[in-house]
Amino acid sequence: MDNMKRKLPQFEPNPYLWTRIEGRMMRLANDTIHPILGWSLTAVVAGMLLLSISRPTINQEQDIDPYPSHNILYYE
Amino acid sequence: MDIKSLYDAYGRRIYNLVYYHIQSHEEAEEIVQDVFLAAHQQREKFRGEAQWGTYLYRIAINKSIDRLRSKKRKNNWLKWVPWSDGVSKAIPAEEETEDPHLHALLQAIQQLPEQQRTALVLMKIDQKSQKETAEIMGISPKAVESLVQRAKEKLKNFIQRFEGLE
Repeated sequence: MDNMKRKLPQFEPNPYLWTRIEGRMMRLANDTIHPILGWSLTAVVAGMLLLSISRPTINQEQDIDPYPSHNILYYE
Repeated sequence: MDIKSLYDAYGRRIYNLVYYHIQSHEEAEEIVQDVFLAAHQQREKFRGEAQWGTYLYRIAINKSIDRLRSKKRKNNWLKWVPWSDGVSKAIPAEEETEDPHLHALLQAIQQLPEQQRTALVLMKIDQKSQKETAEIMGISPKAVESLVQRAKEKLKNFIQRFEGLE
């Protein structure tokens, strides 16, 4: 066993290993920001679409003519 | 504790622990990256350095064992593929060491059962105490003692056979 102890060396990791870990940590941070932004934008667009469907727009309100003078039946 | 300080304190130890399991520098580097990335994701969870140490060792051991098992599964499949050149070697050709004794010893270590190998590497290469090894492996110090004893016997037999062949 003494022979074994002498024979088993300690290995040194690649000096760039930390840089690679740092790079992956940064990529991971970016990957978590993008989905948040993406979902927020999707939620905003979906909300706007829902609002536009459920409420008449100003133009639509103007289209409803309370005095339809052009309607000949109104005067008759 | 930030991840850089953790890497400075444990990077080399974790690398050696993984290397003695996997025996490929390239794969060991990949696993070390995964270990520290997992630590980065769990950084809010732990406070003291002692907790971190145990966590890093455990995750490194689990990832090494998972990698070895998936390699074994792949090799089992490769046996049935007629155009493959058979089972891939445990130690890639480019990493085969010049020293035949070390090469034989590394192969012998890789043939040990998972728990015996882990206990042996932690105690004999990382110089951990029996208590620390037991804590990392989640077993009793007595069980660690027995695992290391059996691993030593197996390696001793292997070395004797190897030296007899020379």
